[in-house]
Amino acid sequence: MIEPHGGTLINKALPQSEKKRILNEIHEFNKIPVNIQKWKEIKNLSFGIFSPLGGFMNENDVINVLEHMYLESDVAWPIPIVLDVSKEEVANLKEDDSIILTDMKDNPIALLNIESIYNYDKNYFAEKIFGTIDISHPGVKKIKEQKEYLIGGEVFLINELNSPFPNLDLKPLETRVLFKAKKWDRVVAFQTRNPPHLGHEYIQKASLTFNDGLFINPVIGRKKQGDFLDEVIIESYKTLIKNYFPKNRVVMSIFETEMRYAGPKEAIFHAIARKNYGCDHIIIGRDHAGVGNFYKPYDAHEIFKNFPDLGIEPLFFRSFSKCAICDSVVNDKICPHPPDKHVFFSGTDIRDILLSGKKPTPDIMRPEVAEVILKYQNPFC
Amino acid sequence: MDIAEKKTDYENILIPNPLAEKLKNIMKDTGFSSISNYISSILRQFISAKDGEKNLKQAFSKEEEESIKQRLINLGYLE
Repeated sequence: MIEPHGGTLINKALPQSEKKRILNEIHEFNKIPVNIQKWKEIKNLSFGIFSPLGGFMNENDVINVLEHMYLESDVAWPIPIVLDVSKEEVANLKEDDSIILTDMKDNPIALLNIESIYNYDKNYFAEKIFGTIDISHPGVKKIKEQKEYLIGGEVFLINELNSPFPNLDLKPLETRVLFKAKKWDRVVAFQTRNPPHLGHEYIQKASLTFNDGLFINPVIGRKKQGDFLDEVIIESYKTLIKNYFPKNRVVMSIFETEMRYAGPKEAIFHAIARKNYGCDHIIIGRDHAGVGNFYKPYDAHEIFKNFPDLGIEPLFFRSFSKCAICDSVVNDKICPHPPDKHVFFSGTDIRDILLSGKKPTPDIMRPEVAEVILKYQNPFC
Repeated sequence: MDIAEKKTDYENILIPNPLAEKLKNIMKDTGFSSISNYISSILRQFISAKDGEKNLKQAFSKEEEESIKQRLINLGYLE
């Protein structure tokens, strides 16, 4: 099985005894509240999804990531994972302090050993990550809303966030045991934030043909307005798997993180997380993690050339359509027929059809999947 | 100092000019913007291949594996 990114699967969940000791002494620690998005990142840091990271990035790692897309240790990493704090919050803190990160109701989440406290230029961050400082980009907007300081340091999980889908929330250690038990030597990951249409099913099945197992790993968490609700994505995939996939070849589990819409850099980030889950291939489609017209359709393919040492192999797919003459789902590499013979899978068109309360035709979406989506009065965020 | 003003550390490595010229020709259509980036990429590929030759350590013990398997059975992932 593929080794975790950086060589070691990180585990920062505190053992019960240590957790008890810290909770007994909790009044001695300074506390900083964090929102639910940060709590999810703490979970990902703690259970190895972000291996080799075991905490929020220090300044040197941030600089290396922004400038070169590598950590200071020369391990590929495309996007900073940081904890932003206000001037007031850092006023009583210094390096080498240990603090407790809490939820908004003062419940402890994690212990953080502070290694560095530093300020940063938001425009520089945005430009380096997203290639723009345009506030209409949701990632840029989020950076502009961040607090003015960053804290770096190791985290140790005290309390895990309740999962929205507890029966579909496997950690990398668990997926690795699962893939081994299923005797899957080659596992291909599919990243998604949409219910499946026939184009998705086509690339999943094409990829599965050359692998032992398919790991469907929907991103669950904050997305932008107009994206599908998490439960719609999960229920529609359950239906697709039940009706159209062999049970012993597919596993679905969620990935709780927010979409950053960083296009090509996020494609690398998604690949690293799936490598940590134990996947050695990842499907990268057209405009992966893109938004608006900020990235070219195949930027997320091109960027992989710069990471020969990533470990996980990308499987690149272009756009798909249903060809009336071939009577199957095709792409531009395998079908000679003109565009007027094709029905194209457009996310926007499918959204519009569903918004009008109609069922997309079977040429575009499986009827069972469409029925699941239409059960929701409003399937969108 | 602001984070954007800081620089990362580098090591200077000298290679013969004819070799540098050959690399420049090879890298023309690769998308790399500098010979330094290109050489770094080649070296990372080499190191990655060497690392891959090492025996991989199992990420979990036998006991952990059995306990996780039971949880996976309870969740319906395994029969």
